[in-house]
Amino acid sequence: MGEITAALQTLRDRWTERHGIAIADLRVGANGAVEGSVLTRRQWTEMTQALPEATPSNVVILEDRATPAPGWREIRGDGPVSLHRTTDLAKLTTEVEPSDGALRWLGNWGADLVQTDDGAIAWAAPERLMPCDAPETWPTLPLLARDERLEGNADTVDKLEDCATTHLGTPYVLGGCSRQRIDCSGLMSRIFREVCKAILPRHSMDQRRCGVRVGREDMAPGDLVFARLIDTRTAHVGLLFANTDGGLNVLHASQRAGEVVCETLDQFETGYRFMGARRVLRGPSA
Amino acid sequence: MSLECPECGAAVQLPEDVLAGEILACANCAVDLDVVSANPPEVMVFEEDEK
Repeated sequence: MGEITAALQTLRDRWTERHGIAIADLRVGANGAVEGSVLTRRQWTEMTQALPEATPSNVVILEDRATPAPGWREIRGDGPVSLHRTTDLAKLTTEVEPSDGALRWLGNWGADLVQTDDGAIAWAAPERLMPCDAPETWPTLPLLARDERLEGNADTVDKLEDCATTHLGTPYVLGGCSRQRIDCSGLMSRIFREVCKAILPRHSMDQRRCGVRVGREDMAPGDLVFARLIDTRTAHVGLLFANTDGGLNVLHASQRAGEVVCETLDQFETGYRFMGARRVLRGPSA
Repeated sequence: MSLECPECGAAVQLPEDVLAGEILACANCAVDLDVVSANPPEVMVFEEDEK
């Protein structure tokens, strides 16, 4: 049992070094089995590899939606709530609006660790959150899975464009996901949530796995275009619409421009290198 | 066009219209692959810069 305890401490030390904190409540039960919880499936895998004899069958993975959440929270007051990568609440990673619904509450380690309905796990100031009952279903909107598409048609594309246009001029802030400030994937997330009543993954490299691949020459209005900032490996995403010249425009939260803009595909590609396109709508003329 | 995933060794099918710079996912291990060259075909594992 001493070896198991030592191995668990080694794991905690590794996770603390990696993340600044180890969100893990692991202990050895009376029968020698490991019990408790870890935050991620990756941590669970590392634990099983470190303790092959310890039968870690009583360890829950907090990020799994099927795991009963320790609690639920809803947003107190008006306006979005900022969520951060670290417990000091200094690195914005996303934002949630009161209308986004309940958050899975995973615990408090100086700040509240919560999971949003688009899968992000991040830290929040407890004073903006208040306990609530578990929702009957969560997420309350369907979450678009890998390779999955949404029902949609030309009318849907028009609605996406109308909605996206209302965001023009919103300042670009990495991690932003609200009307006040927004980043590229946050903009896609907000638009599809509002128009299609569906949730895209929060981050652009995860959004890139939704829908089906479209070649550059076959891109059409309503498709997502992915690109990288030239000379970097920084992923970026925008939404394609038709322009009056028969070509395509890209509406996106531009890091270069510092705000949400709409520009021709040619203008877009002066600063971003094409990385792929995905069709997330399935339907006539979509 | 088919080549080997540098991560898991599985066959990766490159679409005929693939462009250099595209990111594709290995169907077997799901790793992101950067198409370094379309002709001749060459891929490498893509890891995004930390933002």
